[in-house]
Parts: sequence; structure tokens; C-alpha cells
Amino acid sequence: MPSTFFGMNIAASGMFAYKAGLNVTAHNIANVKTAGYSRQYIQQKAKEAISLRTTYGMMGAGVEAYDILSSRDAYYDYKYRKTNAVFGKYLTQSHYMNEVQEHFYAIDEKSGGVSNSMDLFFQKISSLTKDVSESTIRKELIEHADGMMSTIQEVANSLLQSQEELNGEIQSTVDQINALARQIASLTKQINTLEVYGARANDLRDQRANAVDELSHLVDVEVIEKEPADGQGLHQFLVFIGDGTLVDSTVYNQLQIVTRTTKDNQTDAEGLYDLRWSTGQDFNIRNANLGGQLQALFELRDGNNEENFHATLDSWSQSNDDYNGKATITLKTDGSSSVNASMLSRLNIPESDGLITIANFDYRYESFEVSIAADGTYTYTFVLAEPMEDGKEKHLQAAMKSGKTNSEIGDAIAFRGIPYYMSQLSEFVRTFSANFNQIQNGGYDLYGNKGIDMFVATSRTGTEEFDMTEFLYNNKDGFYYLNGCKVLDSQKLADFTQQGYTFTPVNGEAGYFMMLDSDGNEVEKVYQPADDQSIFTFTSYTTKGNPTSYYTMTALNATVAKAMIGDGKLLACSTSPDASLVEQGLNLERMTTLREDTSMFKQGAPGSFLAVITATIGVDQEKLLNSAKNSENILNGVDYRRLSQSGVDEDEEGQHMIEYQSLLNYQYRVLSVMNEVLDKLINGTAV
Amino acid sequence: MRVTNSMISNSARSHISSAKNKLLTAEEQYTSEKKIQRPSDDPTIAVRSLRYRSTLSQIKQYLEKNVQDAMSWMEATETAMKNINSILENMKGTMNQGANDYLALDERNDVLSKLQQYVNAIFQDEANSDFSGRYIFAGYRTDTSLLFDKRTTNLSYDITENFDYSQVSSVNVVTGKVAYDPNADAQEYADMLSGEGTYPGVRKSSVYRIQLAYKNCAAAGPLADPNSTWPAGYTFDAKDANGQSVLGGTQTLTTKASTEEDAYDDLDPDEVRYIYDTGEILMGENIYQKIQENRASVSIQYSKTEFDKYDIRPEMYFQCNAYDSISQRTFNYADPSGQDINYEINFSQMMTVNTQGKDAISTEIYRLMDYLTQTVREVDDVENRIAEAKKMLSNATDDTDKKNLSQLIESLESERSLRVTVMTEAFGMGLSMIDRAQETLNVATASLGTRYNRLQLTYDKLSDQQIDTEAQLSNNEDIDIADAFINMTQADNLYMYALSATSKILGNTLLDYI
Repeated sequence: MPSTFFGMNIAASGMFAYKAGLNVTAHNIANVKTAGYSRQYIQQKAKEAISLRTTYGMMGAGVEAYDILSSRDAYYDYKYRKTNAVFGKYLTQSHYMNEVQEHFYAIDEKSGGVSNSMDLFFQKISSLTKDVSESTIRKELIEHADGMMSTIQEVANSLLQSQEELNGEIQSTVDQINALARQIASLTKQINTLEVYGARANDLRDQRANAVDELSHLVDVEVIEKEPADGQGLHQFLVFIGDGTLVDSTVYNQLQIVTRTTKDNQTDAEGLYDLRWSTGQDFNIRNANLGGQLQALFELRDGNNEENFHATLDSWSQSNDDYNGKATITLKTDGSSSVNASMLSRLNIPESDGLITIANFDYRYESFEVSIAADGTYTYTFVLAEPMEDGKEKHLQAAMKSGKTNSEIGDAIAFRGIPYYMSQLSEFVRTFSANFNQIQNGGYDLYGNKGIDMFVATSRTGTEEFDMTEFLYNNKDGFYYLNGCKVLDSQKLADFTQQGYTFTPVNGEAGYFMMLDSDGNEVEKVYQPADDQSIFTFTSYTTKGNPTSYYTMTALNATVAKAMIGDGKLLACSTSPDASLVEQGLNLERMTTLREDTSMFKQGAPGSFLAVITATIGVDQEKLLNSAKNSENILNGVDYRRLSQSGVDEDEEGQHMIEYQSLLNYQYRVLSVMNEVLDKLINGTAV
Repeated sequence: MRVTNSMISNSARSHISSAKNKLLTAEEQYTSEKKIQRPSDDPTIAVRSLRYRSTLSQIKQYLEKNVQDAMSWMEATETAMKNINSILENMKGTMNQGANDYLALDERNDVLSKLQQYVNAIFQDEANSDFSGRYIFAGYRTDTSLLFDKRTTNLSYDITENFDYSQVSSVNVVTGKVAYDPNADAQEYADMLSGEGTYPGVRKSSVYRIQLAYKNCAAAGPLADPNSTWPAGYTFDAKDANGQSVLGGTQTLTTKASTEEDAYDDLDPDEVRYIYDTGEILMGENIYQKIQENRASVSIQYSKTEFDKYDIRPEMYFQCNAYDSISQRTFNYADPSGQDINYEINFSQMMTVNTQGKDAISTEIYRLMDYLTQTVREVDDVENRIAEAKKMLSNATDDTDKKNLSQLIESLESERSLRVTVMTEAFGMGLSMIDRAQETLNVATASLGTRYNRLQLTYDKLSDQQIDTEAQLSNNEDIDIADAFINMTQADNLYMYALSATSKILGNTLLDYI
């Protein structure tokens, strides 16, 4: 026989349950706009019945709300984060590349751009053909040359600035990652503290999931959540990024910024960052699965289209007498070497403080010297910054023995980022300048003197101008040219001699000969190196007054010689030293041909080279934008499904509210009936 | 599927955002009138645009600047050459007068001064023409006039002058003269003419002659370069088409002044004589024969200092060295042939716009006047002597004197007739020289005309190309403004629909009805 007041207890149980339901509904409605919030709902069941040993058996004891759950599907969280990492990567990349592409394309002829400035320059050359004697027009031409170089420098400088901004953004991204790691760990701690008593800390879990969502935009995350095996105790929450653990339940790791003292590329900004775990472990920034904004930033900052320097280890010395007894490593190019190792115009390893990686060991160099052989082999002698200890030498011996002689500087990064476009620009200015200067040097100015270099490299401070040595490879005839003279090695010399040519030395110019045909007529001036293995040698360092190679010239420091800007007469338009022939423009005619000189670049004429850059960047950016758009769509799709699962719907909640209100009302009604019944029984039936 | 309000609101937001993006693109296209704003919008269009724009800017340079300037230059040249031609035509008429008519002294001088005016007009006005401050006939030295602009004595030149075999002419020279001598008798006057007795006589001799470009040349040289590689004396050589000397090597010149009595006499068959004050080269029979037989070209080296105003600057016509005694500098001037001023008139296409003075205006005409003046002066001179003698005869009373004077007049008349013949021949020679000058000029004019025609064709072609390229550029990157407007309106409508739909959807929930 149940208690007299049992019915009232049943009504009370309904009141408690539906009151809880109504509160959850209120909580849902209140959190409609809370980021990461997932809809909560109560779990209810009938209370355990009481066995009354009566004729009618078990008596139901009412209802109880035994749990509040949140509607969340881990699968969608996983999908969302994976997609978000992809989206974050493409979004960041397309954002920065948008800036870069605008440097290379001008919407019309008035809006600047490298191509436009080059067009203007050639237009002026063409214009000068009809006014060779006019120093004002000569001056205009030189000013346009200066304009072209300034435009390139501006582009290069803004690329450099972008690189620095990217570096800065890496820092702030790392700060965000660290902050999120702290937050996740602290939330996990709170969750564990609460859940140890068995309840689910839904809101904290939502907050933590939201933090992981945010993190997934910055970097690809791997999340593992382990429930306690026996359903009791604390759960484990692990977050991995890259190849390390960021959060292990309540413990978190931090990323640290390490300022580099070395460079990967000649034109890199100073003080780029590497990353390291606060535990001292290395953090691999080149990890292709890093994902998110962080990977994008590193790729943008360092992307070189996998065109890093590599050559083959040839020899080394612990103490090289030719280099003040310092340790040296000698590399040689061969068929497997990178293009930029055997092409002066593309060589972009740092002048000093570069790292040579041979068989996983790094060797830091302070300078290098390059020797170019007649067959196109480049031999690099790197002077190491530190003495080579026996241990390190053993590594080299081992590398040599096992055939792991591939030596690299910088990493191969499969993205066309800042360094790629910078080196493209440098290749352009070097090649263009060398070709132009070669013609300029071959002619005579209005004073009757040999033309001086028009385009020169300047020192970092811009105060010193260097004397450039033109060393060019002609794609058409396959000859090297030194200072405009064909280079003939002993083999080619023998070939020409057999054909009846003879050679007489040029007075005062060692190594230079005049080639004469069988009738004794002068054909051309040629250069015969004393050593076929070393037809041209240059070093990474430049001192004023010494001729330097075009390696010294980059898009950042190429400029028009100051003397030329001041004096249009210095333009070497004439092929005759007779200064009275003011209208002689035969050398200028050669300058006009540069515009259509398809042998200048592998890509063809200078205009084509720039067009190829524009096309490359345009196509890349188009792809990035599409990828960003696609991943955003996918992300939205995932989010859509997730919202479908977890989102709060006002209509639904409204419905619940009315339902719970009615249900509560029913409980009150039950209570009131029970009350009336008891009233009758106690007050009405008692005598 | 369960649809929540935030799904609707998210989706509405993304629709509004995409409608806005479309509106932005349409707006950019409409206001810029370009299909693309950046390469990623369409890399193909971007690269094509770069190429077309580069081509177009170059075409504009050719079409609007280079070709038109080339035309102006050529027109200026053509005008000058036309003027020279009509002057030459006038000279021919005047020359005919001098050659054919028996003219009185005044009339002869009249003809002479007329001719001198014409020659001055050719050289001072036409040959010195300039085009926007640049001398058009001066080859590469457009800042230097073709002629000396003032008397110049500080410059001395060593000149190498070349002649064609046909320029060696056979001319008659009259030497010696009959003159009044108070002690002479009739026989002696006759001897003065005939050359008997002690008198050299008045003789007409035929010599083979080349006139150098200058008179009053230097007797000895070289003057210019202290380190000259020239031999000490002046040299003369004639070479055949293969460059072999037909004279067996360089000949040394003998030097004389025209005032010397035997300047034109006793020429050895193998001699080459240099009359420096008149700038003449005489050559003996054998030398002349060899030159003619081999059609050789003749090269002479000589020096000159002191140039008069309007003398031709040697470097414009000849290979020469000059020494400036003020600056003490030496200038080496190469052979001025082929000083073509080339304008770039089309892609990798150059056009020679100039005509060099040396190829159009012959220096022969210039020297012709010296020769004509000389022969006319000689006739004037003998006529004056006749007049003098006649006056003396009319005043004479003594019969012997009368007889002597009559003989003098007779001899003088004979001398005069010889000199008149030479003068007439000189005019005749002048006529053929002018013909030659006209021929040279016509060749130059014809070449100019051909080039001008080519230029005209290039101009037309470039005009077509410009229109084509502009059309291609426009097709490639310009948007059709009507399309753009429609696109923009559509985008705008789309945006409005998105807004209105959103405002409807997000309006109410069930909560509003509770």
C-alpha cells in the first residue's frame, strides 16, 4: 500500500522534470547566438516503480530527468576541422598572392607595372633612333631606364616587405596557437574537475570544441579524446599539430619563435623565424601536413617552387691554404644539380651565412668562390664559418663513401612564394642588364669613349656602385661571352684554327685575341682563358673598384649608374670612337633589337619572360582562389550539417517551451486533484 | 533533415555575400570597362593584354613619331634637292650664254657673277639646310654645317681624295703672253706670240688634269698629324677594280705653283704634277693611258690649311686627318661613306632617312667657278692689253711705232683668240659638269623617293596594324558596356532579392507567437 501522499510525490516528480526541461529550453534560447554552442536536451525516464505487493503489482513512481546532453557529433567536428585547415591555408595564400600579382599586371598603360615600364623604355630607345644627337632625348631614355629599375626595385621591396609581414604574422599566429593551447588545457582541467562527479560539462565542452575549431584554422589538428575505460574517472584529451603534441589533457606545449642567423636565399629578409617546441624539440616548419594558416605563411614566406640549390660534394679541406687556412667544402655541378646552381643569372644562395646540408648535417659558410668551366660546370668553394672538427669531417667521409654527395642549400618548397618571384625578378634584371650593358660597353658615347655600364648593382647602403663584368651564355650559338667577347676554350680554338682562322693578341688585354680569317681580315675579338676549367671566376663578396659578377645584382639593388642619369651623352649609341659623328646610331640599333631578342631568356624575349611571370602568378592565384572558394563551400556544407545537428532552433525551442508549460500545468493540475482528494478524505470524511 | 534558424541565417548570409561579390565584380567591370582587374580573373586575357599593349605602344611610337619624323626629314631633303636641281637648270642656261655668244667684257662678268650667285645658292642655302636644328646633308655630323661658317685658319687637314677615271679630263691651257715692251720691235712682238728667239711664246698645250676639291692647297705636307703615317711628300695612286695599283705603286708628286712660267709645260709622260695654288693635278700621257685603260680609280693625298668662309668641310666629303693648332688636338676622320641615319620605323626595321651631301652635291661645280673665273679673267686681261695697245696706236705718230704696235695688236688678237677658245671650252666643260652634277643629284633623289615610298607603305601598314591591335586589345579586355550594364543590373537585382528574402525569413519564429 503506497503512502497516502504518494500521488503528490508523483506530481512533484513531473514538476521537477519538466521544470528542468523548461530551464534547458530557456538555456538553449539564451545561447542561440553563442559561438560553438550546441543544443542541449534532457534525458528523462520513468522513475523506478515501487513494488507494493498489492493485487495490482508495481506502482509507477513518476518521472525523473536523469541527464542533460548536448547534441554534438564528433564526426562533423572532425570534418569541420580538417576542412577548416585547408580553407585557412588557401585563404591566407590567396590573400597574400593577390598583392603580389598586382605588381606584375597593370590594368592599362598608365598604371605602372614592370611590363609597362619596360615598354616605355624600349619606346624611348626607338624614339632616340631618330634623335641620336639630342642629349635631352638621351636623358629621357636614361630616365626611363631608371624608371624601369625603380619599378622593379619597388616590386622587389614590396615583396621583401611582404616577406617581413609574413614573418610577423607567423609570430602572431604562433601566439594565437599558444593561447588556444593554454585555453584548451585549462578547459580540459575544468571539465575533468566537474565530470569527476559523473555529470557532463556540456558548456565547457562546447567552449573547448570551439577553441579547437579556431585552432584548426591556424594549423591542422589531430584530436584524440579517450573516455575512461571503465566509464569512471578522468577522460584524456590530446591535440596534435605538425609532428608534436600541443595539448595532453591538462598539460600544454608551447611553440617558440627562433630568429634565424642564416638565410636560405640571397634576397631573404633579415631575421626570419624558425619554430621550436618550448621543450627544446625541433618543430618541422616544412611538414607538408602542417596545414592551416601556419603552413600557408611558411610557404608564402619561403616558397621557391622546389628550386633550391643543389650540387654534388667534390672535396673538402680542414685547412685550406688558399683561404687563410680556413675549412672549405667544394661542390661541383653535374647533371643532377639544380638549374640555379649552374646558371649565374639564377644563382640566389646567400652571400654568406648560408647552410649547406650534406647527408643531414649542416655546414655554415661565410663566403664562397665560383669557377665556371668551358663545359658549363660550376665549381663552388665554400669557406666555412667555423673550423671543421674531426667529427664533422667523418660525416663528410661517410657521405662520400655511401654516395650521399647531394649537397643542398635551403629547402625545396613546392610553392611559388616570395623567394620564387624575387629570384625571377633578379634573373630578369641580371640577364637584361648584362645584355644591355654588353651592347653599351661595345659602343662609344658622345665623348668618343667606350660606353660605361648603364645598369649596375649597388652596395646595401646604395652608396657604392659596382663595376659589372658581363659573362653571358648565348642560348643560340652556345658560346659563353665575357665582356662581349666570345670565349674560346682550347677545343673550340683548335676547331677555328683548323678552319684557317688565326689569332693575334690584343695589346694590354691579357687573354684577349683578335680573330683573323684566312685573308687576314679581323672577324671579332675573342677571349681565350688560360685554364679551360676556369673561364670565369667570381666571389660572393664585392669590394669597391673590383669588377663584380652579376650574382651581386638582385632585383633589390639593381639601378642605373648615377653618372648616366646625370649625363645623357654617356649613352653609347655609336659604333665609332669619332665623337664628331653625333648622329651615328649603329650601336643604338643593336639596343633596339634587345626587345625582340628571343635568345635572352629560356622563355624568349624580355617581354615574354615578364608575361610568363604574370601568367604563372595569375594561374596560381586563380587556382588558390578557387581552392579557397571550394574549401569554404565544403566548410559551409559541413557547418550546415553540424548546425542541423547541434544548432538551436527557435521554433523548436518555442514548441518545447509550450509543451513544458502545459506539462507543468498538468502536474499542477494533478497536485491540485490529489490535494482535493486528500482534503475530502481528511477534512470532509472525518467525523 | 532538421533545419535550424541559424542554418537559415547562415545560408542567407552567404547568399547575400555571394550576391554582393557578384555586384562588386559587375560594378568593377562597369566602371573600369575592363573584363579583368587582376591576372587571376583570367590569366589568358591578362597575358594577351600585356602583349597587345606592348605591341600597341610600339606601333604608336613608330606611327606617330618615328615614321612621321622620318617623312619630315626626307621632305626637307627632297625640297633642298629639288631647289638645287632647278638652280642647276638655270646655270645651264647661263652657261650656254657664256659658251656660245660673243660677249662683251661687262656681259661676261655679268654671266660670271650670275653663275657665282647660283653656286652660292646651292652651297650656302641648300647644302647647309637644316631640319629642326640638324644639318641634313652632313651625315652623322648633324651638329656641324657642311661648310665652314667663318674663315678658319687654326685647322689644317691632310686629305685623301678619290676620283673616278672619267673625272680625268683633257683641257687646253694657254701659257705665256704678249705684252707691250717699249724696246720691242714688230719681229719681237711676233716672236712673243710664236715663241721664237728669246721668247717662250704663247702656247696652247693640252694636259690631262684633275681638279682637287680645294684651291690654295699646301705646297708641302703633311700638316696635320705630327705622328702621321703618311709619307713625307704627297702621293698619288691609281688602282683597278681589284685594288691593284696600275702604276706599279704609289707615285710621288712634283709640286709647282701656277705662277711659275713652266707650270703647265714639259710634263714628262710618267710625271704627276701638283699645282698647289689652283688645286690641280696634271698627269703625263703614260699615266693617263694606264688609268683609262684600266678604268682605275685615282687617290690623291694632299694637305690644306686656311679655309675660307663657305669652303666645304673636308670631313664631310673625304677621309682626312685634322689638326687644331689652338687645342693642339688631332682628329682622325674616317671615310664619310655610308653615314646612314637610320630610324626604327617598324619592328626590327630600320630606314635610312638621310642623304649625304657627298652623294648628292658634287664639289666639281664648286671648283668649276674657279676655273671659269680664271679663263674669263685671262680673256679680260688680254682684251685690256689690246685696248691699251689700240690707244697707244691711235696716239702714235711714228711709223715704226705704228708698225710695231700693229704687230703687237695682231699678236695680242691671236693670243686673245687662243684664250677665248679655252674660255669657251671651259664653259662647255662646265655644261657637261652640270649634267654630271644633275645626274648625281637625280640618283640621290631617286633613292630618296624610293625610300619615301617604302616609308609611305610602312605608314599605311602600321595604321592598319594599329587599328587591328587596338581592336584585338579591346576585344580581349574591354567589356561591352551594354552587357556590363545588364550584368550590373542583374547583380543588383539579385542582391535586392537576397536582401528581401532574408528579411522575410528572419522575421519571425514561433517565439513571437507565444
